Amino acid sequence: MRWVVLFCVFMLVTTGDAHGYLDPGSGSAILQGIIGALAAIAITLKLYWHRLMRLLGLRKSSPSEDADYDDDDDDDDESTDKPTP
Amino acid sequence: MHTDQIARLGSSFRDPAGFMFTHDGTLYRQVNRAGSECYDKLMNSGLYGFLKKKGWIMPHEEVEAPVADPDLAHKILQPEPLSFVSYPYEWCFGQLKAAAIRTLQIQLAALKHGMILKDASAFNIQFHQGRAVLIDTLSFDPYSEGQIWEGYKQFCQHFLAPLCLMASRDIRLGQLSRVHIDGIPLDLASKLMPRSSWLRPGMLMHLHMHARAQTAYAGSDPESSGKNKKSRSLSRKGLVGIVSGLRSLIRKLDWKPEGTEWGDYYQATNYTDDAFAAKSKHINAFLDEIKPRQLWDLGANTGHFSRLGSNRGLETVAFDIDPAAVEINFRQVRQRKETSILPLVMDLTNPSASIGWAGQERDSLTERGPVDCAMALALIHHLAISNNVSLGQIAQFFARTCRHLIIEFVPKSDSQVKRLLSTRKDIFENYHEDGFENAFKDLFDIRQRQAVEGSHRTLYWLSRKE
Repeated sequence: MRWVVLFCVFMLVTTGDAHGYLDPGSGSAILQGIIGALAAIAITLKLYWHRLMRLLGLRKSSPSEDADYDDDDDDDDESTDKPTP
Repeated sequence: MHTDQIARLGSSFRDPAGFMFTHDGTLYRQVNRAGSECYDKLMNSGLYGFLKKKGWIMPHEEVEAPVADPDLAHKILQPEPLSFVSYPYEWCFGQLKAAAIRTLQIQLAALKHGMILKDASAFNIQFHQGRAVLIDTLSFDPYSEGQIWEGYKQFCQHFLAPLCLMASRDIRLGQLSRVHIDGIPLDLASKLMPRSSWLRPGMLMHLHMHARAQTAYAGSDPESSGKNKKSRSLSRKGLVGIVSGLRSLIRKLDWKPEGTEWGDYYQATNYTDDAFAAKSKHINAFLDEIKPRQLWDLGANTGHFSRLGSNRGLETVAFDIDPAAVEINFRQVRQRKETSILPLVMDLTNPSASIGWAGQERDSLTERGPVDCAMALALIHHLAISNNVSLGQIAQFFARTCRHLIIEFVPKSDSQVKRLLSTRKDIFENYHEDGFENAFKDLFDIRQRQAVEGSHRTLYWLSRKE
């Protein structure tokens, strides 16, 4: 597993400046870069996938760029404790 | 201004952007000049207004005085008062999960407004009127594209690791947060997690890989670790992906309070419905006379009797040792949108001590009192018999904890006490009503005594001698 991490690091990224009062931790910062890159790729693929589906007429709307920011609901702290209909 | 009346909070020293202090019993926050850019952007970007409208941040007013440190001061804020400060190691699973989700929701809102939550301490969240709110107004920095989330490690240690351990391994592992005050070390969490967690991508990346990356790069400079030194940054899209990924991972974590010692306690007692109603009637009559502002229910189980207080608007804290009972209680709070009751996990034979830097960062239970009124219903036999505490020591503890006490004496003839004594020698000669009254009479006045009809128990209203 260590080699996977090392490989990813050398192939992919290092990270931006750190300047706050917390020590972000080198490993955490590097990993964040890796996961962030993967997540960005996933988000982009998802967007294109939805566009493709829409072009083929298999889906009506595509998610907006903002979809990942949005909350599914207003006041939820967790989704599991809602009464099920 | 009399600076001698100003006391800085023992927990408020890490961030140069500002600090908390009290003056004449009121809590204030000083925003230092070092934090002026962050604070002004929070207020001007619309982020504060958004969070306040959502009820996700503790609201504050800007005030002129008192200024704690004029050399550094930019502004003084007076936050809305919080009725009781609780700590992550006193929360049940659902509360820690709610606090984690709130932190992530706030991070996404911040990014939308051009700011970033720079840290992710679970101590920055409190339960205010039934909901998780951020209390640290100075947790935000202006965001610039490429920046990493400096609090990512802290988030995983404070929230993700204990939640995963509680959900996937054992609920009691949440108590590791008491020892590891800056969150559970990820290498420890990784070792304790079941093997199946390696197959879950979120846990694999944020816990297991994270722990290994920390070990692999301990002490190295991330700037020089890459193939070339010109750093490629974490895109905004990537950061949003990490935060929303963590959010969906945590939303899927669940723990069901079942099969525990106390889960069905009310069904398992020897109380008849009549005795239950009589007990409620007497407690209500006592509360009518005491008229407290706050109530601590010590040994509250799922909070049935606590609600006699909270339903009349008393700020009520319902403590119980059993995380399942507290979980059930908290789910009721959420379902009914209750605003006056806070369930917490507390072992009264070992209540929260004051811990952290200089032993002053997090207050002990008694330092957060004394409370106007405490209730100890069906509790005394657990302290006196299960834990061998003398009735005199119990009286001393309550005298430090509260001004009025509603306490139920459970005699040896009660089936619950019989059960406790069935497996051990009865060494409790003084454990009877007279012994109880003798032990309490030096510290408390007995105001009223009521036999609970349909049981062998007696309810007392005691007032501390001043």
